[in-house]
Amino acid sequence: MEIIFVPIDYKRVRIKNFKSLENVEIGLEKLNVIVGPNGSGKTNLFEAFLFAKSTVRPSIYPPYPFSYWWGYKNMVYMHDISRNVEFGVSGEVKTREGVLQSFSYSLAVNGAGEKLRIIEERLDGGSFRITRMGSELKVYLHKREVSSYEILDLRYSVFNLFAYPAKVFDEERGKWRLVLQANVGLLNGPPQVLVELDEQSIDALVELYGRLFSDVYLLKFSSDRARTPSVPGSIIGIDGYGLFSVLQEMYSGVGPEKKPEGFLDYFLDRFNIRLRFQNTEFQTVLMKLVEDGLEVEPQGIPDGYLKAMAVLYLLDLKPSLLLVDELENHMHLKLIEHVISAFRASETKVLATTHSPLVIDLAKPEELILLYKRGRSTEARRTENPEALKAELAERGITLSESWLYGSLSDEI
Amino acid sequence: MKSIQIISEDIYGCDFFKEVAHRINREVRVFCNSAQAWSPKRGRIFAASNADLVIVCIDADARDPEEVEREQLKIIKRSARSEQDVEKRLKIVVFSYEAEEWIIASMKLKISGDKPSEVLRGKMGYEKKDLPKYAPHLDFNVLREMSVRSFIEFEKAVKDP
Ligand SMILES: Nc1ncnc2c1ncn2[C@@H]1O[C@H](COP(=O)(O)OP(=O)(O)OP(=O)(O)O)[C@@H](O)[C@H]1O
Ligand SMILES: [Mg+2]
Repeated sequence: MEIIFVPIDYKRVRIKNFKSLENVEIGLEKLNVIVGPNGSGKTNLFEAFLFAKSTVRPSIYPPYPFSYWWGYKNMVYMHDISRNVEFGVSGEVKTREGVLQSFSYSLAVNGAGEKLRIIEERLDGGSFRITRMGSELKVYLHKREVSSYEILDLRYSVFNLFAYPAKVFDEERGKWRLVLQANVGLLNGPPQVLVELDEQSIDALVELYGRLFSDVYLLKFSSDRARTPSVPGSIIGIDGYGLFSVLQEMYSGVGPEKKPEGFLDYFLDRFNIRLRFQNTEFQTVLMKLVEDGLEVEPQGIPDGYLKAMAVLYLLDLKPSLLLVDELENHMHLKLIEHVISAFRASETKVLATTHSPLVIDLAKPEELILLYKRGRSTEARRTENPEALKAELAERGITLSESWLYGSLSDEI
Repeated sequence: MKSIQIISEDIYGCDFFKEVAHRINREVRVFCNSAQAWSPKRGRIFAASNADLVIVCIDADARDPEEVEREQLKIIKRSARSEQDVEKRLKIVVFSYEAEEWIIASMKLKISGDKPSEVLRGKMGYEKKDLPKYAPHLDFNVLREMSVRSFIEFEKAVKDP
């Protein structure tokens, strides 16, 4: 039996100076529905995770996480390049044995002159800690300094400065050790960090080192991008480009009689859809869809189907956190009900932005994050008393979306 | 042909109830939408629907089923077209815990106070989205013999909408 294993629980995030998010802190529930008027900062909140992910887990080397925004200036609050952009997250990491360990991680970045510099960074996992200030990096165990380094290139986060960590058993002492290999081109100091720790803490740190932010997936879907034939072996992009390639990979060698297993299979089965792939003369993959025996060309595939497939494909990868900007786009109520049911049935935490009453009415008041602007800055809040609000809405026969658009929830802000 | 609108908490419930309903009565059209248990949206769906019968499914999760039914009724009535319409077209089906209790009963499993879905998860790695897969295999005779109230009421409503 496959065990659903979602190792990181992202519980709280704090963002500073990222676009309109001058200083925002939010707790994350299993499902989080981000609402707010146009320009209130929903997409900015989504993009802040993209920024953190591309800094910690760069997709290009040397790392340059500002390109999505055409430079640091556009990304920092009020274009004030003297400010640092900060992102902090805390939560729990779960080992394969099911042990929970709390952790926190934060970083502060500056990009004045369009040069990336990580100014501060801190990784805290129980009794183990790495801190960094400017070019100085220190490793602590039980609050005692055990190693110190000089950082030679400020563009790299601790996840790059040290190679993937290992757990080794010290036969002589009969104890477990965590070993981190220093990346010699980037760090000046001892070749490795060696600390004696209990086995469970080591397991938790190994998971954290391997997964933090790489298990956060983002989707800001564009149907045109998703239906563009893509190169075999591509991964799916934030805009959905590469969908055909990843689906081909997922379904290649699988006959039409495959039993429904994942969320995407369930969807295909429910809407009676089969996928057919074709390699083009330009070395790309295109996908056709077979609906009740009718073969539909890429241009004819409904946008909503492509969107649902992209969302459910990502959910099947079992990320710890999935963010979807403008969830409702392209989807009729039937599909919205479908993907929200899948979100709730999954182990993944989901953060979705929306304007849609259809989405809001499938949420609970405590799942809403209300965004609004105060001056230039985005403020975020949860509903103050969700149980009282439920009772009030039931009493008055008012839906959650109506309350948000015209009623008590609009008064609250 | 008569029609039934079902309201369930998610699409897995919808797919499950639709299939069970069709096994009970081939001669009905069944629609289903999902809505949160507490949500006034349930009342809106009831008021807007033109189906001959609206079946509202609700999990009591070990709470007092009568109280749960009263709460649902209040939510529906608040938006209903009229008192008579509620009497004529509404059927509230309350599960002691949740829909999975039909599977447990049909398989004659013991649950002794545990959540049915948890029992199934432990026994066969059950996940929420597996629910509809069980619809074709439910043994209605066993459910009747064991007097599973939610099932008997559901069956009665679907037989004669
Ligand atoms: N560098 C910046 N500093 C401060 N504010 C910024 C910066 N860049 C963008 N903004 C603000 O963010 C707003 C856009 O926010 P965002 O795109 O997150 O809105 P949204 O809530 O997603 O809106 P919509 O619902 O229309 O998609 C801009 O209108 C601008 O006011
Ligand atoms: Mg936006």
